[in-house]
Amino acid sequence: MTAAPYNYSYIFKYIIIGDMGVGKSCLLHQFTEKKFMADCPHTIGVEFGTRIIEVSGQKIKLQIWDTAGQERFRAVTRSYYRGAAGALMVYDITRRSTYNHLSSWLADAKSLTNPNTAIFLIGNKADLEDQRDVPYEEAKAFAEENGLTFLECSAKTGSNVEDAFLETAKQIYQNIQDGSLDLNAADTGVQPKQNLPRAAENNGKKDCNC
Amino acid sequence: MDYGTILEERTNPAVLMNAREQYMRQCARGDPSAASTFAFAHAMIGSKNKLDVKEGIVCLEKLLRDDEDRTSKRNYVYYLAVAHARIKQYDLALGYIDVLLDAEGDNQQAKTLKESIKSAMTHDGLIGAAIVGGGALALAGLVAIFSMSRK
Ligand SMILES: Nc1nc2c(ncn2[C@@H]2O[C@H](COP(=O)(O)OP(=O)(O)OP(=O)(O)O)[C@@H](O)[C@H]2O)c(=O)[nH]1
Ligand SMILES: [Mg+2]
Repeated sequence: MTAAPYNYSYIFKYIIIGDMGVGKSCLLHQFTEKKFMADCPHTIGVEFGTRIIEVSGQKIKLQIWDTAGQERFRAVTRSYYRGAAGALMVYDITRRSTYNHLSSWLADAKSLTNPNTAIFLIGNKADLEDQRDVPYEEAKAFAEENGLTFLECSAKTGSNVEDAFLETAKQIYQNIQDGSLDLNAADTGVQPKQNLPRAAENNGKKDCNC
Repeated sequence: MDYGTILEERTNPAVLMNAREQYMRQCARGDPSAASTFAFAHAMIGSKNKLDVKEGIVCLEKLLRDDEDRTSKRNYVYYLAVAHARIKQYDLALGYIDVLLDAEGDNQQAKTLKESIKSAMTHDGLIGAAIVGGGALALAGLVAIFSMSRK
């Protein structure tokens, strides 16, 4: 709707998944606004945020879908996996149950996204070291077994938050560069600039130079 | 794929078809669950077809009335605001989002939606236009249901 200039080469679609209250919305907010929301209500259905980043000198617009962890609406949030280029799977390092549920989140992510989707594991609330319930090494081993990239982050302090989002973009960009991600295939979650609508470009102004 | 706000989001036709099939199957077996009715409604209100959106609204209104689960009601109110805004019934859209904001004044997601509704109105040249009375009246009953359920 806004006539912002389309000064980026690609749009990448991400989803953020994981149990209720692990900090998905706070991670998104920290990444897009560089702020921490201390008192964040449960997400309603699905929300999205955007931010333009740079990878290898290319501007990329990240369109990030933040899903509700509430079990009751899993059917709705599942419909967002389709066509995601990146998936951030989040657990809370202070709550073991959120870690134990990862295998079911991963099963969903693997079956509902495409094989090229970059899946990133985030152990959030790393600032609460004294309440830690999941050892770093254990999660690291789980990530390696399942071919996931892994980082512990804190949406509160911001530590590693940028890295998680940027690393995922780098992996996707790498997949485009080496041809393993076919831009012509359906539901890749990547849209090159050429296909974007060029609305409001000349807006009545005469730009003909003759 | 490049949406400016949640109001511009449209359901992928394959997702819409799938949601409809699942819902129909459930209906054939008896009363569909709140979760599958919501999944269906959520897909429908993202349809390009205005009639689909209206059908989704009817489902959401029914859920808001009948679903006993208190925490689910805020979801229905939120999506009723989204749905009405998508078919340019802005008075109803603002009515619903204000109900949610009354209950959760700091809710960033709700605030963002209200801003999106207002900017859609500005875009349509409607800011400052009189709020239509009939719609708001119909809303009053449902609002009462929502507010009561918060206790
Ligand atoms: N200490 C600490 N608290 C955090 C952190 N991230 C989130 N929180 C808190 O955890 C609570 C839940 O965070 P949310 O971002 O709303 O969780 P969510 O995963 O989006 O939850 P749903 O929307 O219900 O699925 C909030 O009260 C946050 O303030 C963090 O890194 N450190
Ligand atoms: Mg959330």
